[in-house]
Amino acid sequence: MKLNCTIDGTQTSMIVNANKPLKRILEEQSDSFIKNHGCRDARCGNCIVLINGAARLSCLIPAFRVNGAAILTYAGFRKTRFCHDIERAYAELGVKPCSMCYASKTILIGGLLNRYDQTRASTMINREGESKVSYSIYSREYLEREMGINVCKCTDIEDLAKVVELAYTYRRQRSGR
Amino acid sequence: MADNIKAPAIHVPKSLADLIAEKGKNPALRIFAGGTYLMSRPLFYTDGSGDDIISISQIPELTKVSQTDRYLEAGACVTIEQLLNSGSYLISKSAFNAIVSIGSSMIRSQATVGGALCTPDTRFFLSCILSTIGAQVEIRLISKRGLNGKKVSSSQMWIPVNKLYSPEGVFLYENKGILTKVRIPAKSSNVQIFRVLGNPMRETDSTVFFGLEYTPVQNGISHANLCLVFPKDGFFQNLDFSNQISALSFPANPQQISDMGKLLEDKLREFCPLITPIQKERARRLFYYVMYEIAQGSLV
Repeated sequence: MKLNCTIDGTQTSMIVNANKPLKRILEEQSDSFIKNHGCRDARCGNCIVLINGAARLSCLIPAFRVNGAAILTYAGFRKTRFCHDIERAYAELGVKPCSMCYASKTILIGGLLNRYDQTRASTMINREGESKVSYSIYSREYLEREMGINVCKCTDIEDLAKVVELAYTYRRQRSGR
Repeated sequence: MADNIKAPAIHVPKSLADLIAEKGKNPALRIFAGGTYLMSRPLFYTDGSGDDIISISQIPELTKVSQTDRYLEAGACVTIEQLLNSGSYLISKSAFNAIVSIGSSMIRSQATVGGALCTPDTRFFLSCILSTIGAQVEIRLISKRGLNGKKVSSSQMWIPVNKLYSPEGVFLYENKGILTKVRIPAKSSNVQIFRVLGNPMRETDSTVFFGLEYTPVQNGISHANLCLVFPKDGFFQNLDFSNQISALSFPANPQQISDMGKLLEDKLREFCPLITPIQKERARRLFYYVMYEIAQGSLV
């Protein structure tokens, strides 16, 4: 099939098999995309990219599902001000994920902050006034589950939670909220 | 063909009738819903089988959610995240939290309800949760009739989730039918307990999913419904055993609970002979843990 999509802001057109995983396409198209040969079945979480603003594991997305989509790898994301907020938070807190998972963890945090911006979810309340699950940016349980998609344990979840909180604060300050 | 690998054709039907017609003509077509299962198979892309794929994400009947006071009905291609968003007021808190624990929002936004129930060789937590709370699924059975079997027709039926699988955990409707809808009953006053031991993605030989629903009554429990799911080798939901749980009066003495544990082991040996010893042990211990929890609650 002919795949038309935008990769890191560049309109791209190529002939690929319709079921080709996006991860393989990015490994061939983007020099800076981490080539992780150890994982072929969605176990490591190191292939996260943003597809139309939402974080996704690129090894689980076939080519026919991204026709016409805007794909942002870390190479494109690092040029955005959203990434600068996260890197400021890393520097401020002295936290730095290892080279294998740095790109994925940063995009993952970027995806989380995008969701917070879109939904402004804090706590879901049901009819009886009971709280179901706290989606608060400060909820450790939520962050542990979200960040757990990347299996690298180089960074403590408490540190990552602080990075998320601080990056969100920088984002809100920058947008004047 | 690119990469010297045979390229499958992607069929994208726009209606359920088209899907049934295509699947009826070519039963070998692989149904692609969210893709979290198929794409995570290591040889999905490179095995070169070239089996054509039928993507069901564009079929309106399969992507809608509707609800009444009594139940929530979701199409097979509704993602787990959409199910949670739509069903937050209808699904009980325990079931809701159990479904949230299935994975991160990234996975839940891609994995579909139908896909999670229809994986050919692995059972996931969702099947245990839905079976415990008494959910039902609509299956469209495909049959061929007429001269040379050219005409494809389908019949539909609603069955409980546990009827999708054999006691060995095998999915019974592969290539025979299509799961189109899931109906989840509204929460009731029943108590629901869900537990997972192990990591279903990385430890399929030792993971156990546990689900129990019951109605609390004075001095005991009634209408107990126990479901134990083992990712690769077993799906245990036995009416006889559940009735025996209901016959217990609480607070139960430790000997009664121990006897029930031994009975559970015997039943698992009989109905799920392929499960590993560690799964059997974990199932027994989870059962004890939950029974003692209920017994403790009855003392308050």
